[in-house]
Amino acid sequence: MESGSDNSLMLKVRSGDVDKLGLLFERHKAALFGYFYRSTGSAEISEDLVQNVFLRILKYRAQFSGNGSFATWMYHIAHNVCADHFKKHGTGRNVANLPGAPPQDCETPEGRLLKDERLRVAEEALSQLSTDQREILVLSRYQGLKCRQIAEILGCSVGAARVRVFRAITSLKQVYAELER
Amino acid sequence: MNDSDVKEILLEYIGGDLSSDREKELQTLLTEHGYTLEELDELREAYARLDDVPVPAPSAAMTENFYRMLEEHKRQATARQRRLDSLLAWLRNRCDRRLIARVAGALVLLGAGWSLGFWSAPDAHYDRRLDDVTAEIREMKGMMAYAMLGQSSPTQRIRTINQIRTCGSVDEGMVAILLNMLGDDPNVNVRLVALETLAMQADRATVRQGLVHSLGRQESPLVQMALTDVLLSLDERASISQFRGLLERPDLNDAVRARIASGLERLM
Amino acid sequence: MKAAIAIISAVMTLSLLAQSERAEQITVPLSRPDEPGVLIVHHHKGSLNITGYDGTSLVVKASPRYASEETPQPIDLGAVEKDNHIVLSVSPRHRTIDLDILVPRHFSVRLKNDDSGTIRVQHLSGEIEVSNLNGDIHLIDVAGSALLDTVDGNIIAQFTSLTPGIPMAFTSLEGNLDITFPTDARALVKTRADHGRIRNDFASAPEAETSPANGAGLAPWTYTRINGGGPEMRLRSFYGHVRVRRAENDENAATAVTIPDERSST
Repeated sequence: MESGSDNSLMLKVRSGDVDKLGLLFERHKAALFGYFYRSTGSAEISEDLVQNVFLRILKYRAQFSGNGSFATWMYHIAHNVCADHFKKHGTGRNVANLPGAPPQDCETPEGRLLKDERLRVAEEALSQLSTDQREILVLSRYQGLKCRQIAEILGCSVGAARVRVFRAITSLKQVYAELER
Repeated sequence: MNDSDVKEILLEYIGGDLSSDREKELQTLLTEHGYTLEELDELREAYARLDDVPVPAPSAAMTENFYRMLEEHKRQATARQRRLDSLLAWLRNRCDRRLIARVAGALVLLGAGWSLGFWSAPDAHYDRRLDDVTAEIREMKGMMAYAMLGQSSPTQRIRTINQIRTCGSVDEGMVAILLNMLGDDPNVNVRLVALETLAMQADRATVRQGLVHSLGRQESPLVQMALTDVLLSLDERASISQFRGLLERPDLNDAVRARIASGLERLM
Repeated sequence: MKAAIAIISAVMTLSLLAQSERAEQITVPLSRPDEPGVLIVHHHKGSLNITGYDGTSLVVKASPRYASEETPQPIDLGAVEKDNHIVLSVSPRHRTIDLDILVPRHFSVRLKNDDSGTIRVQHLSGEIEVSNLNGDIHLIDVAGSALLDTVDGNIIAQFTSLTPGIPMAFTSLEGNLDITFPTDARALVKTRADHGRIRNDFASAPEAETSPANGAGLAPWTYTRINGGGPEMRLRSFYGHVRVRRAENDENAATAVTIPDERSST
């Protein structure tokens, strides 16, 4: 374990050096926020959920074994936090307050309009998927996790994870097709 | 090729990760399993369109809140340590200094033995301050990190009990501690020493009651035997039902069984 | 609490068939090789043989006692080391597995056994805590202190020196106690044999002070103050005999009790 790796940092946290958790926070906060944002659609809620994840990491630090990767363990916790949130508050998404795509210098007005439209469709498509399918797409596309890691996070077999990802993409395609008819 | 492998290759293509040496397998797939390249490209496009959704940056407040949470956590850990210190100060009122250190040490160490976590509920007869002590002990038990496991020493606990014995006045607080050790200490010898010390205070009702109560919870034949001896010599008829309960256990040690059986006859 | 934790686990599958299985072995290095440490083993079935040596790591060998014709479940040896504290675990629990462990000489041990085995500790200097259910406890050439209990077995312990000021206890339900203390030990020896005989070498010495039962009924202990007295050494057997010896330099080595190895009788 080279010093400074996620795993070695977490093991230090586990031994009582809780300040090291700050380093892990800085490394993963953006990705975690993205995961929650794409799942819930709300920035405010996502910030709370990120906080929740690190609270749980602190609380359950004794359970980190150092055997698997820290990221997988963290997303496992994140998945639970997300599921708990949906249980409490329902799965309705906040599609209304979308940030518009930030304008870029060399874009034409038509180009901007097109981009906003694509964004809208993409957001709409995501929101029409089931929570489970949305989450697995988020994990796979945005967090860049391999099916093996997704299987660990969701607690299913690798084969099942692959099938679920495939089916989610298929559903996504169908939703797009209907939205653009 | 099973379904999982099929999906693996398809997903690699869709995600744009398919390596050139896998392309042949993809071709086989297309012909054997009836997928067309056109379909796969549509899936690939749909998947890629997910990138159209930008994510706003989290606010600075999120980072601030995290560090605030971390500080609070560290503060609470120090607060727990301070509560422990004030518990020691409370104990200081009870007996001489050196004994207090020993008892306090034993209390702190008691929570971490072979296995963590087996505290009995306090009996209603104990006075209020003892309830507080027990509650504090239970909370401290929650603090015991597994790292403390290596620092608990049965020898120290035996020394503590010996000192309680020679301290002079054994009050209800000490009785409670001893009964707890009799019931829950992971080391058999510690329990035996606690029992002996309690037996010397057998004129107290709380002690007799506690001893009777303890019989049914003992698993070690050594302690069962010693406790049986004590109760029989005290002629404690309240233990009859506990003895009967023990006799019903199929795994009861033969020697203990014989002792209880003969002793019961004399009691009744 | 800032030390890193090294987790070592060895899972090895064994080839079966009529031949006996190979023993499994792991070596556990110490975080602080030149300092004393603690070994904790809670074994279910089988004997425990701990031997102190001049090395700086723990060497564990696990041998199945019975050869089996069917597919035996493979032996899994695991060890966790933190700051020279080592916890050892062996599975599967239902197999009788004999453990031979080499331990650095200045180590304390906490050993527990449930079934089918003698626990033997030799050439060790430290705090020795042993709890056995069905078997003997043997301490040979040890220094330090001991807290031993067994239900069915005998306790044999030979100390070359004692840590001053530490109370000790030796308790057996049905077995005999045979404890050897160094001649210059300072202690208050308490012996009790509810249904057996007590014989104490120290009691016949002129400087010894023996007082009989203390208080009626409840505590028929025999106290012997040796060399001016010291911490309490409790020796009690409910159904066996209690023998206390004083180590007469080399003489006691010659009269060392022969200890049968249950492994030799398959």
